[in-house]
Amino acid sequence: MKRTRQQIRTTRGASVILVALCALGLIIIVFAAFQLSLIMGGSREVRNAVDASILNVGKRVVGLKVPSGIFKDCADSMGTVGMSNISRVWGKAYLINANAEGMRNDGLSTGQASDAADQVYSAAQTVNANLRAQLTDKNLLDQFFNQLSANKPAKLLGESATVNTSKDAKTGWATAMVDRGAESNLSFTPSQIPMNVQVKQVKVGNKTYVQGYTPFTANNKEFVFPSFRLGEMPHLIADSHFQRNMGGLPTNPIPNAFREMGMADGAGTTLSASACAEANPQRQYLLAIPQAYVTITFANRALWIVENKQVNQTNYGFEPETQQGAKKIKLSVGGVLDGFGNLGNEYKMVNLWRLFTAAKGDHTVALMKLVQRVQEIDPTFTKERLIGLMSSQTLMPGASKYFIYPSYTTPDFTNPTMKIASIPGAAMPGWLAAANQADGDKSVITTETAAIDEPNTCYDNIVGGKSPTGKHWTEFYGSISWQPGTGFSQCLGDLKLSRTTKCVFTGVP
Amino acid sequence: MRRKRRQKGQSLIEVMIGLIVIIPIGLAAVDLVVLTNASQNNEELCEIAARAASTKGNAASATHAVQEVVDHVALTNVVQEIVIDDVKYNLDTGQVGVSLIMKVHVPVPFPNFDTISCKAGAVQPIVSTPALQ
Repeated sequence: MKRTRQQIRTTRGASVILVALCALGLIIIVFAAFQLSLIMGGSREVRNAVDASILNVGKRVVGLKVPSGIFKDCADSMGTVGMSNISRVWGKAYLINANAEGMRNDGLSTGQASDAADQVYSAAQTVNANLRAQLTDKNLLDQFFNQLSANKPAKLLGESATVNTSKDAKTGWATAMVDRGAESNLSFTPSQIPMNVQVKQVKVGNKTYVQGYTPFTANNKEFVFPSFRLGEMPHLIADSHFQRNMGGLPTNPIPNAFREMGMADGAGTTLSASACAEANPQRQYLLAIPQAYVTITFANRALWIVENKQVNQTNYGFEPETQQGAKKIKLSVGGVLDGFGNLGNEYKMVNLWRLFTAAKGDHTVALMKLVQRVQEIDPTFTKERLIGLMSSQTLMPGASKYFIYPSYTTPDFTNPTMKIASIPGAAMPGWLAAANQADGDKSVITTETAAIDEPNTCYDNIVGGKSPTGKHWTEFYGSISWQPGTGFSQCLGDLKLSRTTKCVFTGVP
Repeated sequence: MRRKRRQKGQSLIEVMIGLIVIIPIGLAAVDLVVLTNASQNNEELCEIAARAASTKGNAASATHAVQEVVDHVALTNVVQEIVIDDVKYNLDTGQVGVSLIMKVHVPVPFPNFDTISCKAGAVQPIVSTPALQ
């Protein structure tokens, strides 16, 4: 069979064409694989950028601050409230309401105390709402996101492929309240809470914390504190974990977790990814009403008894003095009696503690009332420290009122050192409104038993009787009353020691 | 008979020429896959190192954390060395930047292209700093 010239040429070129096609196919496959790897790499870059940017949001949101309103003593050094110290604000509001509830339980509540509790709760809600508005503000959160994503472009998608959040203002950031039931960043001492008042707590190590995102009530008001686990930093969390904790809590507490989608356009492709981050301010505080005080006041009276009959009642001051309380009293046995008293000798005591315990009786209940309230200022305070403080206070002539108040060296009022001072007698810190009274009702909590002829004494002078002097003695006793305060107006309570010196004259030897 | 033999020889030559073209492309593709893979691994390693650095409180401990991450990588015939190019720990911006260089030995070395350095960088927010008091 003869082959034509054209047939031979066709056969000769066949292998070259085949090889060329194979080479082209191979190049196309390699190119496609490379493009695919670019897209996959770009996708990974977008994911990493979104992760880092959301984490930046989790870190930066703690810097969002709002004015502190009436909670200046709970504010940071700039006088503002943010995610880290909002628990302090709620803590103060809680303590004031706990005090109001405690006063109601004890039957010592007043309208003023109830109003104070309502006012502080309302003020805390306002601060909380302002902060929450900041923490859910799309523009602010976008800024934090873009701050980092600008440094992490998806280079594999093209030079201009930066990762951004959605421009649509309607699609705001999703927020959640994760770690429900974990600790908040507010620790407390159980003994600083008034008796029979609820607080949800969780122990971590040797400290007790207010439980986070767990509602509880005080004074019929709901309180929810944000959770911030001890020792944790801002970190990424799983979407499913975020999703489960998006709502369902009363009082609109501030969120502690944030989710957003980031997307990048490049080379005709749009890639997106979403991530969730949990914030943590990494600061712990103590439950307290930082700028508050308690007072110890003294009142004295003398009862003048002649022949078993009270003939006079006088008050005496806060330093030793002699009074004539019975003047020209006609005696049934004949004669006229003038009765004198050496009063105020209890103020010769070396210090306030000695004066406090000058009359016989169990002062523990009174002390513990003071300790509980001072612990609302400084949770680490103890009965022993109170005794030490009172022992260190010398008695000031003429001073009827002693203030126990905190002194701070940090601008955010977090390191209280309890001090004691009298009015008159010492300069008080500028913030202390000494004229404010405790807003609860007063009740007697301890009765002191009588001591005879100590520390005060009496004597008489009888004219025209059988004897120039009769049998006489003094009885020194007192009662201690407690007037609780909510702390809204700084005063957390007043412990009043009403001391009586009864000067008894029989008129007969 | 002679024409047939000539035709067979011609096909062999064509195939040989074809292989001369295709084989380098294939070998280059192998190198490309290895390089792409190594580059992506380096990017990922850099992210991990930056995350580790972001949890530290100062530049020294951040660098130490990056070194620890790098030290945990098992080196192979392909990945011969990983060195820290730079650790920028900046508390002012609140960001830490980590840059790593991975020296990759390609499986099919070409002249002047037997070892290639892949550089990757990652930025993370410093999360160790507490809120201001």
